[in-house]
Amino acid sequence: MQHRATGRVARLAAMSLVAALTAWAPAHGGEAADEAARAVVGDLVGEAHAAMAGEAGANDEDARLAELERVIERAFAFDVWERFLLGDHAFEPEQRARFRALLPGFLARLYAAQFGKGLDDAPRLVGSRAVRGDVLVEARIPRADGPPLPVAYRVRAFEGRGPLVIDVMVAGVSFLMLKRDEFGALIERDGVEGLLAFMRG
Amino acid sequence: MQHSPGADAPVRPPDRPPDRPPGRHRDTARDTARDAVGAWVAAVAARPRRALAGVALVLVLALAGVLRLGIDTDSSRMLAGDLPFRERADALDAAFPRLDETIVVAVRSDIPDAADAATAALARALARRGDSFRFVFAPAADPYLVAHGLLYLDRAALEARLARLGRSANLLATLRAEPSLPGFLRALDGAAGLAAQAPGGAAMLEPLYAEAAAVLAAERRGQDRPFGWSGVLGGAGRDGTAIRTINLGPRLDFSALQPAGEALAVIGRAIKGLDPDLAGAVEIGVTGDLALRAEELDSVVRRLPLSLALSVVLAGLLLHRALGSAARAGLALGTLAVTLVATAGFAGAAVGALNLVSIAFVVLMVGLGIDYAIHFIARFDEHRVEVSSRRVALVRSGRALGPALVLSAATTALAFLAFTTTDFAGMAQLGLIGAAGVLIALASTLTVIPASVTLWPGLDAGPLPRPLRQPPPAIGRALPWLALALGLGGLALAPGARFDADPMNLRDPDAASVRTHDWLAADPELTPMRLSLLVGDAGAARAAAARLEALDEVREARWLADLVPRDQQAKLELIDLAYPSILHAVEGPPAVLGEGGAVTPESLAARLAGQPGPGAAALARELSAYAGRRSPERDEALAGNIFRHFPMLIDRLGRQLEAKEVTPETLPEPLRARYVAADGRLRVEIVPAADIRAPGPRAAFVEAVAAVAPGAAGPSDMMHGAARAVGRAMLEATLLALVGCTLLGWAMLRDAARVGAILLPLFLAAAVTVGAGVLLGLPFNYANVLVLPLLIGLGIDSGVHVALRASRMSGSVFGTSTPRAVLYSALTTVAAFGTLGLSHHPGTASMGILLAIAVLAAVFMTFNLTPALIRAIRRRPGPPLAGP
Repeated sequence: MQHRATGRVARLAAMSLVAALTAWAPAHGGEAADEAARAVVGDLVGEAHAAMAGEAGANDEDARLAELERVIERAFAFDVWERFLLGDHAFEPEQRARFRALLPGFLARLYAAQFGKGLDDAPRLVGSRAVRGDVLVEARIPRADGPPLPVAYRVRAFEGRGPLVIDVMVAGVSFLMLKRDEFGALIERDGVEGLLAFMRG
Repeated sequence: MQHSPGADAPVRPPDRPPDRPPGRHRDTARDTARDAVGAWVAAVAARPRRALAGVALVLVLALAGVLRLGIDTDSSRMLAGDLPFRERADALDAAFPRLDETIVVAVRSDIPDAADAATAALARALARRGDSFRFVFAPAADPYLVAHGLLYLDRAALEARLARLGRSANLLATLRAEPSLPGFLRALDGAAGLAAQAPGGAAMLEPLYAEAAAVLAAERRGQDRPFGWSGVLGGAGRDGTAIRTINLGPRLDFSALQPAGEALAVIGRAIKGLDPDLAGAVEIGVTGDLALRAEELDSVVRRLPLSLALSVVLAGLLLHRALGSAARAGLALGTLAVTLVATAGFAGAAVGALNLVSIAFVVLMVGLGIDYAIHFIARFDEHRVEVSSRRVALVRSGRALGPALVLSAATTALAFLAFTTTDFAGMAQLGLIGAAGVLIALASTLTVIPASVTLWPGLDAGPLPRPLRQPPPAIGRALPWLALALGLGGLALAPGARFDADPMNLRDPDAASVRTHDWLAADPELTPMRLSLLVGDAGAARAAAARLEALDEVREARWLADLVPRDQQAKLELIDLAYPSILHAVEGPPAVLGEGGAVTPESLAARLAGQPGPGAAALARELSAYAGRRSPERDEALAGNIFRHFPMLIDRLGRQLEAKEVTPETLPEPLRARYVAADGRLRVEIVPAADIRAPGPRAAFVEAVAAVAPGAAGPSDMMHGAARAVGRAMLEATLLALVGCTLLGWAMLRDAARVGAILLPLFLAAAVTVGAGVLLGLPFNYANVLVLPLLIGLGIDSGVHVALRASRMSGSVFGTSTPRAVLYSALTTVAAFGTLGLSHHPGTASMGILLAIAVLAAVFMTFNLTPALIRAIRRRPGPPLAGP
């Protein structure tokens, strides 16, 4: 654990350095952002895999999900997810707060459902590229019943917060778009409370 | 039966002596006419060769004018340029010449992809012909508009499309990597498996399943049916027909009869050069002002010689019967030919280019020209039996007929000249040519016939003058009342008459350019029947658009700012969100999401059988059926249909990745130029809410727009304004003609009652013609409106001849050659041009029908009312009727 924490501090330091270099040398900004994004995604897939596999010490399902939720919470830009997932649907402030509170857990369960079935092998990053100001980091996530899933993490650099994941794509299908569509249909059918109930699982 | 000089004269009622009765004062006008015509005929008969040489010289000069003659089929120029709606239209044309001088190629298909592909292929081919086109603009194939097309969807539609695209990303990537039937089955299997895991996923794939089922069903029926990719991804499926347009600015060659002819030929070749598979999936039409005019001109020019030949043959047969020999019929036709050539020469010198109305001067002059020849020859036959000398008979005919010929020619010319005073420039031109033509016909008759008869003795051998057979007395007494009743009936119906100013209604509805125009007119997004308002700046445009869009009659008022998509930031954010998905579809490696094994029609059918939705069920059925008939050849053919338009889809998706914010400055120049004039003024385009091809909805639209935007111009404003202007012009001209003819008749006859006996039947014949038009649903239009001046001309001629002859008779006028001449003159006109009623061209057909009705009505009214009125006047106590 100590080793993992030390590594994270080192990476944060590296990212800070990268951010500073970006400000100092814009010509090298692309590469730096790319590196920072890869670092964030590397952490995410590694720690998520560890959480789902119980390597983080959690023995039961709930504990593993809680650990995964913490991992996701550190790596995801939830304000972006919230904005896109809710779209123009009218939410009371209190409903929005509950939505926000439920979102990490919901995404953790979703993540586990998608990527929690081939945990014998470790996921690996296979590349990254700039996409309209963001970085798309591509990974291969093993699964039990087929070849590894091609997953792409869209990472955006936020001022003061560093790079964070704003979308996850499996074979080109965006989680954010998929869920925005599903949430919209749910709200149309069952209302905001229906959606919140669905998110609670 | 032929008569010879000096033979016994047939029995006919005695005329009063041809010369002035002793003791009566000299009636200056009539006597002058009699003396002048007599002297002219005498002079011609004395020097016939010189006279014919003079005619030949006139014809040579006329030919120079004929060579200058052109045809302008632009119906908008048939109205005076200072009419408010013409000024508005001219201002719009000057500011936006591209809107006017264009050709539109419309590509229609129930497969949007096929329409897009054909449009793109045609636009590419035509864009290479910079020598023929100033610009080629195909919105559906324009790279900028394709790249930014998503921004033009409303947000809900954009979200739905992006969601569908997002879910289909790997499907598209798989298909791109393996464009074959096994690849298609595998991609569908993967997508179906993925969709089954997500709520609503199967429903999202329903259009895809349904389309695939339709393609397989077509294959089962032995038909080629390409897969409609854009419809499936757009969520529209195959509903409705897609129409794409290409706007072309041709380089016009005004030295050619058809200035756009070369450009139209290039378009024709480009259409023929399309890939047959593509061409077979679409309908392509060419329309637009230039194409419509070119086709109409072609139709007019093509039909004219046939019409003229038929006219000449039928007229020749009737003339043969009326005049007794082929040589005399030839003489009448030769006289007519001189009239036509000389009148055409005058037209070339006076107006240069004929319009759609004035081109009918040919019809007018045949009707009137033959009239004079028949009357002269018939009268000559009467006098020929009295005297042995041909020359004396000719001179006596000239003197006897002179007042009637001069009066009828003068009144007809005056009536035609009345049309020159109106705002209806098309009819004004016909009026000028007609007036000159009538005088030319008179001069031609009085020159060619006496000279020819003098030179060629065989020409004076005509039939004995025979009276027309009369109906039994009881019927004869009833006929004037029937004529009156018909006239009053027509008068009652007359208020329902209208002028149809829509030039499209003149054209052959089966003509390719007209059918294509109808495709566009039926589509609210493409209808050419829109109005335009010129404004100085953006503020004025915004305010005008807001006022106009508040109207129920207006579907949309769009201007430059409306070409810039609304809510762009939010839309760009959504597109940005979908970017990686689109990128994956366009260039990403396909992911194997299923077990990775082979997928067969049977296995996919089994997977789909468990999915909800009619599309999935239909595809499952079709796949099961296909499994039974599958072969490598069928697989290949099926894949050909499935993937025919797939590369275009991928290409378009790739372009959409380039979407950025659209501003007025970044819009394609051909699009901008449709809304921003060279001087910076802006055009607000006003789209009607309803189909305004019918006059009622059109008037409602134009008047509603005019109430809030008085400067709005365009085809519908032009039609609405033209209908009113022409109606007013025709009424003014008719009244002016009637007043002028009355005054002239009175000046020559000095007898109001006899003038009434000429004009009342004419008035009632006009009422019958107008009423018949209402009853038969034949509104006046640019083609048939010439019936009114022809009616006035023939009506006055017939009336003058019958009235003057009847007033000189102690017995029935029907015992003389005059009614026979009137009848044959009318029948010749009807036989020659009534057959046009059988034409497929609605304008021409309506002209033929109304012309036949008008001429027959004029003769019927003249025969049954004029002699009766003359008899009634005679029975009045008072001074005796003056006779010539």
